[in-house]
Amino acid sequence: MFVEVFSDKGSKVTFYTIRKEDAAIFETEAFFRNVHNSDYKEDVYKLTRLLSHTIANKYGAYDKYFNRHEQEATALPPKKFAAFKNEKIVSFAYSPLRLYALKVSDSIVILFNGGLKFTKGSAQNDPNVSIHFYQANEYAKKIREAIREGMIIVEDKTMTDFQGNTEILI
Amino acid sequence: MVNEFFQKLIDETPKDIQIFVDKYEDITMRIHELLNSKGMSQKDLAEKLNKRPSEISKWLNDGHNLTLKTISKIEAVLDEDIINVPQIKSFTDKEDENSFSGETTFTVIKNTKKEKLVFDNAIVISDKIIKKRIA
Repeated sequence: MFVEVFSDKGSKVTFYTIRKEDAAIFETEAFFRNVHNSDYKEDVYKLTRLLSHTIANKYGAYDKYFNRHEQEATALPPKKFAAFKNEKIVSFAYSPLRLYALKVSDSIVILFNGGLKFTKGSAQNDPNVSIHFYQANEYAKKIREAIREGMIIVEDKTMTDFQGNTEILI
Repeated sequence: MVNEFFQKLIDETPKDIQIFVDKYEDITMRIHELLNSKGMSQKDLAEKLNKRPSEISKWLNDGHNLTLKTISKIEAVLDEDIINVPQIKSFTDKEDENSFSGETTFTVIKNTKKEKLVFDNAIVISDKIIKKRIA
């Protein structure tokens, strides 16, 4: 698999994604194409705005956006803000969207795949997202290791492999 | 570069949803900043907000989205502004801009014939009404 740029248009954050070998589209594009045709289009637009504006251009990859911890990875959208936990409908309060991600730094986020989670239990047991949960954790673990071992170089808003390639083979 | 499909989603996101996300994130980020500056955790704030169960019950049952009431409550607990609404210049303020300072009396002339009138120290309010200062 390859780690490649998904969007580097933001002034504060570059989003990367995964491209499986032989795959026609990125993992994150597959996620958006899948959920875009669901009944949760408004949530998809909210998540799009959160990524493309709030995180990419305004506040950066602030920890509060990555508060849904799923072992090695996290899932977007973020959980409700605690102060508003009693509010009925706030932002993504009851969204079933789950886009798995890895925050590498305040300026680099890797987006994986995901889906719509309708069950109340853990992601591992959800029929829609369990596969993406396991994959995201596997990707996150490999990427962390590669960074630790110097196979991936993280510099400001960019990541390259040790030879300077922007398409990073993992 | 931006992924083409992601760009399509960015472009088609309705304006009201963009505003909603922006405002919500600005509000929560503002609260985060205030909590950090005061050395308080979200739990501290929640506990402070939960002091009056009857009020929490109202928040739960009033059927509204994020309410001004909740924001006001948080503003009260933190003793800081969370939302600042730009003030609209009142009609009175606009009048004040056009008035002369000091003690002054005016004659108001209704120029129904739309004659060309020339005065010193005059303010044209409309094409029909002129305020003229009487020295």
